[in-house]
Amino acid sequence: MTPSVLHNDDLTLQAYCDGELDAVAAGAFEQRLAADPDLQRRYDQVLALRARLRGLSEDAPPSDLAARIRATAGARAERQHHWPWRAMAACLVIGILAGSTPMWLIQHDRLSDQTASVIIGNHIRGALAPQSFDVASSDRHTIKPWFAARVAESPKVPDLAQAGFVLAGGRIDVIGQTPVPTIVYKHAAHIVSVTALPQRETVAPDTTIAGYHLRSWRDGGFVYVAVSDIPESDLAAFAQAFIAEARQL
Amino acid sequence: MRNSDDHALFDEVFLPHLQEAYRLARWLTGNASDAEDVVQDAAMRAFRAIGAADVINPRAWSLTIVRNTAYSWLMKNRPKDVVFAEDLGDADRRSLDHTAAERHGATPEDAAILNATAEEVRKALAALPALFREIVVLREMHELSYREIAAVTNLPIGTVMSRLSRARQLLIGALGQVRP
Repeated sequence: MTPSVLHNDDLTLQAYCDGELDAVAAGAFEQRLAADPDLQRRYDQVLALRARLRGLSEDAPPSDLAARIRATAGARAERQHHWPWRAMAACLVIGILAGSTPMWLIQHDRLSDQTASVIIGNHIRGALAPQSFDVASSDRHTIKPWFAARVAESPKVPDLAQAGFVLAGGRIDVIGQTPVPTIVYKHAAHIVSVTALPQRETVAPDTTIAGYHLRSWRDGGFVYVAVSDIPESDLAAFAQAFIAEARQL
Repeated sequence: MRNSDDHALFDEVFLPHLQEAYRLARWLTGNASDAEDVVQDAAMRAFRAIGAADVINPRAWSLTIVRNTAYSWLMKNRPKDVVFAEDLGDADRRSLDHTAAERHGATPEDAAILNATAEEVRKALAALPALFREIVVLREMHELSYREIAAVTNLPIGTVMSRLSRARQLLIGALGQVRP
């Protein structure tokens, strides 16, 4: 046996002990284990070691650690929450002058940020999956009814082949607890996902997160969010084409 | 600026894993008071990050922050303890290979491992370089899967597997020598 075979054997042995082999590989390994005393000995050693490591007593964290951590984390916010009324009043005035209160802005931005990152996550997963949609069709008359059967309101599904974006399919994503329709277009080797959010969502400024561009606009009963790794200018062209075509529907 | 959502989120995401967080910090720093510092620091990092974070697996997320905080702490306070794989010199590699060779020769029976005292087991684990120790602790103490360990340590799964294998070889070798 060459050392590399030994090494591979060892990794298989480890994976077997750690429950990381699938049923077929585990079955095959068990047969080898039964026939090979050396392998059996190493297996026993790994398990003996595990028993010893797991048998070590562990110190519990000091009983007041959680309370102290909460106090430190809480102290900052306490200071901000219990503002003297004068400061609060001043803040309110400034807020009104600015057209909105700071708190409102912050909560608003956060919502969009979280939604944006979920949408990008869905897009990435779609791009990695064997297919990025639940229903495959280049026919908008197939996709629209498919959405209609699954979500309360079905978004517009414009055909953008003329503009170089071929309809590939549709899928349902879940944001928070809300199922939302996502339309998938192909553009050369890239995909563009357009998620239709309920109207109450806000349109976020164009942004780029982890190399994915995000562009959103409001149209009819939806806020549409397009995400893709195509160049920003191409995505802008896509959004324009989408809006123009959707108007015709 | 913080709001009450962050507190609720922090209570829900980080605090339930405090015991595990402490345990990991304890093994990575080697003592109780440093572990406490690391956990406190990690908690503050977690609290600051929680609003913007998209936490899918709260346990892995919390352990990742503790692990990274512990590494920063080690780099700052005990830089000599942190050995990166690239820094392992030829001598270290030889000694690792030596241990591996021993394992195939006249070597530790599992009886030797079973007979070592708890203190000896603890010492052998504490003596492992941090990069091996963390993998073994995450697998055996925290019972994380390879995939979870890869996520927490930001290493490829293949590296996790080979380090885990090495770490076990080293421990089995060390405990076998305790009681010949």
